[in-house]
Amino acid sequence: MIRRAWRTAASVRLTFWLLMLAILFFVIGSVYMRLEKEVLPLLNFQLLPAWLARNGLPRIGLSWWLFGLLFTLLLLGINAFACSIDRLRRLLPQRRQMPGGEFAVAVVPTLVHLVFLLVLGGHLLSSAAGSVETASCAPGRAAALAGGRSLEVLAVRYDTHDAPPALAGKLKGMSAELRYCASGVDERFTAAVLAPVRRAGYRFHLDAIDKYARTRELRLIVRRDPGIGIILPGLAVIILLMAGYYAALRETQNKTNDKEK
Amino acid sequence: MPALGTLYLPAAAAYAAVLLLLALKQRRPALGALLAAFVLHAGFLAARAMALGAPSFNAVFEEQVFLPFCLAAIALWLWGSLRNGEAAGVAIAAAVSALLVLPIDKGVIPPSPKSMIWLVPLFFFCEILAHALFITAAVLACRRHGDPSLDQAHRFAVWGFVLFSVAQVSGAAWCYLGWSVPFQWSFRHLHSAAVWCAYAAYIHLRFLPGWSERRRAAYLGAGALLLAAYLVALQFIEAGQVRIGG
Repeated sequence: MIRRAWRTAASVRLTFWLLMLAILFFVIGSVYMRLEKEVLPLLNFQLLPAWLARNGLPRIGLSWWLFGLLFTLLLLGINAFACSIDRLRRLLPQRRQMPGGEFAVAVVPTLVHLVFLLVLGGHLLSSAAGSVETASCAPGRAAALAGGRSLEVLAVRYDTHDAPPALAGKLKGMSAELRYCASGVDERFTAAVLAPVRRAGYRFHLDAIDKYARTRELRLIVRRDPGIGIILPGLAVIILLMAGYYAALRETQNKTNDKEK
Repeated sequence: MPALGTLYLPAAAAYAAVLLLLALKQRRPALGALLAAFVLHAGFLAARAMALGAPSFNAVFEEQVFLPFCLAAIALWLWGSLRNGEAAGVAIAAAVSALLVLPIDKGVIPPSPKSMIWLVPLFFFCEILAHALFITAAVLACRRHGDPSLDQAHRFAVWGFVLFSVAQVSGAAWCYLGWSVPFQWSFRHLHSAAVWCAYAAYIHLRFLPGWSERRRAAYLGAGALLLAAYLVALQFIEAGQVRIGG
């Protein structure tokens, strides 16, 4: 019984159908995101569990696809873990018979899956142990943050292009001088668009509300994101492993073709 | 300098000639016309890069103008590799996409504070080239007359997937710096995730015994349709953009 359940959990056929289900939920979600402009965009400014409790459950008609997607991703995570362990169990006893390079190549897909799980774990960590707060960014404005902390906007600076003539006067950069106070902390620093600042365990992002800067409206996002240190490096490792794997496969194939010739 | 829309017209005319010559079964002259279209298109992209008075990669790597260019480059590469039949198939895709975008304003979206980072051209370059590789894989898979074509299609799909993943990672880094999260809940990000999952599933098909080459070819075609639906939707979403020099 347990063996059968494990075999099902580790099956590539299950991977395929779970990915199909994930595609379905992603596409449905993309349509919902396009059509609904009030509740769903809040997902970007609240932690996922908080959003699900505050908005997802009370508006199940809007969020059902998200529950489906999260459940599918959970199953995909279990499937990827079972697949990886299963493959490692088959590969490891063969490593003595395989030339060094061949074993290293064969183990790469399993490593990719394991790092992918780590990345999913990073997202989970950020959702469970992170925090996010937003404040408007107008000069002189002070925002009270959770836990008796405060954030004051001392000044806002807009840089514009001087040249070429087609761009003269258009926004080039935006930055804000901030003062952050918490117990034992009183710091002044400058955060800019695309250049967040890290202070006392939080990251301070300056966000231009209009992506194309047609308005000068700004918002501050204060995040604690413990998973990001796993997510971004993990994704970079996946790319390197994948590129190396397919390049090595191609080389092996070319060698085989040369021998056949 | 003439408007960018006007500069695009000679390239579009050459792409139209490609289609006409292929319809008349003149494969060699059609591929010659494709070479002319590619050169004219490269000139148009160079003009676009300088349209704002200073060199800008962001102006080059925009889907409507860079996707047909990538497809034309792939078709010429296949031609150079003596795969004329396959080159003709991809040339049709290049010409059709180049002509479909003709009504869209060819002006450049001006840079904004959120686009002033090297991750942006890296993201768009990788993403659009990956799209071109996916479309090429679908074209080769659907017109194959033997196993070698599907092998070639598979290779294009795999490298498309690797490049698409590079795009998603650079996009995640850009999104984190600009929006504070590596993944945004938005139409664009969710659809990109759908496309990524579609090709991740394709990579796994090789391990499923029930999937014949014919079914895998059909799958690649379906993947390209999902991508095309997304690209069309994106054109409508971005139709209201302010542009300069169109």
